[in-house]
Amino acid sequence: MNSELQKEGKGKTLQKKASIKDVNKYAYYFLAPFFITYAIFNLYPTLYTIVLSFLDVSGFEIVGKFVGFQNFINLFNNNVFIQSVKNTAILWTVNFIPQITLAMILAYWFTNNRLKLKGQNLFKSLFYFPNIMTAASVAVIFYTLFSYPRGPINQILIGIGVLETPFDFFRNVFFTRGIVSFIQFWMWYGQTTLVLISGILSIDDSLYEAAIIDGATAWQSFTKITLPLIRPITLYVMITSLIGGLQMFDIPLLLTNGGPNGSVDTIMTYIYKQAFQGGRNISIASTASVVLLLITMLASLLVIIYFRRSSNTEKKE
Amino acid sequence: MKKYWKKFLGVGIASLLVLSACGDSGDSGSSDSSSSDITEDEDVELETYGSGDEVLEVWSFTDEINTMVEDYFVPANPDLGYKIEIVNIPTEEFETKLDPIISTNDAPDVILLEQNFAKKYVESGLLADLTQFSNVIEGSEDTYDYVKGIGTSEDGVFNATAWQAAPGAFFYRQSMAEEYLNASTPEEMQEKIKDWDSFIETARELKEASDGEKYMISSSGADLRFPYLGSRDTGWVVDDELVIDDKVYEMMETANMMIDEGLMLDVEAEGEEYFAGMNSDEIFGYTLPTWGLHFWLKPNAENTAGDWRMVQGPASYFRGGTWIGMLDNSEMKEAASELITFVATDEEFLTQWAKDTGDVVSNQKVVEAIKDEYSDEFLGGQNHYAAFSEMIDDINTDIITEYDQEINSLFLDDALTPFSKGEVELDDAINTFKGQVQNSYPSLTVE
Repeated sequence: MNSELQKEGKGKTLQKKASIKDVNKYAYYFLAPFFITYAIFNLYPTLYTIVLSFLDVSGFEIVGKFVGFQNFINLFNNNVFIQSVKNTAILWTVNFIPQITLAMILAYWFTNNRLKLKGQNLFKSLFYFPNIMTAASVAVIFYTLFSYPRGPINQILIGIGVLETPFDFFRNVFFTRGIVSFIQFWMWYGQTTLVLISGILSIDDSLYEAAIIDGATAWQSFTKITLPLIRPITLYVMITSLIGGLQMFDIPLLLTNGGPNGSVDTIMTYIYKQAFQGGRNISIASTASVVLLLITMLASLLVIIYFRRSSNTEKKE
Repeated sequence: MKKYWKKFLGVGIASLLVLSACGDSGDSGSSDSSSSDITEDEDVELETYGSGDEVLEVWSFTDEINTMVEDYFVPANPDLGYKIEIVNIPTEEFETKLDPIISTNDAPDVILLEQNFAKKYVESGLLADLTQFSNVIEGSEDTYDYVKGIGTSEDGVFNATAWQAAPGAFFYRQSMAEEYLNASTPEEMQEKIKDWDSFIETARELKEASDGEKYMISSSGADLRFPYLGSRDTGWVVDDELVIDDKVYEMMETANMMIDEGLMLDVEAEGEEYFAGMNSDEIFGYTLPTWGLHFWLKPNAENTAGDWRMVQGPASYFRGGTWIGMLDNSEMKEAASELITFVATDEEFLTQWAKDTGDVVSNQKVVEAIKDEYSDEFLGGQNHYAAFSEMIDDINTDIITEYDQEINSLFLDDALTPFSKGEVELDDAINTFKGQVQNSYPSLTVE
């Protein structure tokens, strides 16, 4: 009787194991949709773009002939493209430095136990609002604000006596770049602030308490505790912002279509214009896309290496 | 409780911002492709007319074709035997939607082409030769040569035709002409601006007489560019080589000088200020084509209506217009030819269309027959139809190339605007322009 029961029990566990094995394979089925979608809509286009960059497809043609690295050589000798790379770098730097600085200050204030700011949630949502608006609307708003000769900004500046005659902001390289950078900064600093706040909040409070007991000033606990411990989050912000910045597209295109004199033409607007306007040089656009991919990988790698190295040296100290 | 209130406030402000961001800023309807209005966000629309098993697919950026099919073509042909499916796509998305599928089976049968990009498709070799259809040839006999010229490729293949002609004119304010320029009739005014030298002289006269309060024109990109480009001897590209006509240099110098001397207000073409000037007493005249009168000037000139007159101005030109053609890989060519013959050549239809809409149609016979019946209160009773019809004969289509859309816009952005505003030297402007053309068309020779 007993042995029979035992036998039955053994049989059951065996069956159970077998059925778990059976169930395991379903995981693959559940994962499959992602991989299939990825392969069709992401992997295949990426590989095909690389293939296209070695052909000479343009206009109404569908097939092209193999031209080796000629597209890459032409691209690096093309002043318009080189200018767009420089523009992208300028626009990203000018918007990212104030953005990370302000975001860091705001994140510090919002998380500081001594300050205990009121109305935090309201301000957090207010700072995030610019990001909710679509880029097209933001571009229209700023275009109207700074329009020439009778936009609101011009009228205000003339009204308070700063200007005597209207100033055409979008014909000036410095101001157009400034406005584009400002919009990027204004749209994204709220997002960056929130990410940094979440990073700071994940730091154990007892560290700060210990520091206070040891007599550390607020500045000391910020530089010696907060900054080193949010390093991974800062790295994340750096990388995502870098990738986003390299792909800057909608604001420059919608605001001035890259003008004046191509001063806010970015790599992405270059790719767009090559692919869909004029001679519709699909191959050149693909080549520029591949170059953009390489630049992105290289820049991300440099940032990661920099962060690794500086954290290693600190550990040694 | 307080916490909830705060959250509510936050969400409230957020939704307000989102709502206000979505608000439509309103757009004056235009049939010109160069107005790249970014607030416009219409979806592609599909309408079906008639009944039958087979489908004739038509792609269009203008809903005029819907009216034509619904109110004229289907009633005139009750036993069609096929359905007509019209897909309406906004002008600025039309090419990007059409190009990827144009040589596949998904391509439409009939496409409507804005003049700006008509040549690109006419030269593509993908459109059907219309001369294989006797009904099209017979109907096109009285079609204006310039209309057929745009629809004919370099190799002489007749690929597209049109129902309208879009000659351009110069519209001016009668009251200002009388007060400052002693010109009381359009004939006297035309004499004062019959060529570019007299045009500039008259602009100076206007400035002096009005103490610099009135400007001859509003914008170089709109008011100078089209008539100057229309008076060139050679197009932008000849034998795959970029050619810069003397008239192009002349235009740049004129624009620069007019801004310098305060003869032009110098606002952005088709911008807010450009349209606002139509309703103010600051701008003397505008360079506009047929549709510009109906779609731009009339809706924007409420206070100044009745004070406008039209003349040819310093040069004959045309701007815009809609062409229609069929794709060579279509399986519905016979049906397509019926539709094209009807909308572009049927005299009865074109007469009715001209009467219903005021459009200047492409058929010379129809225009001659009806032109004397018109009189426009907006133009103080002047017959705009007759005036426009006289401007058609001088239009030169040899200078229109498939590269024009892109090169015209590069020229405006990289050469005309920066040089006319005095930001760069002439040579630098031309070199930047050449570099941009080479960048857009690597296969062209640019020297």
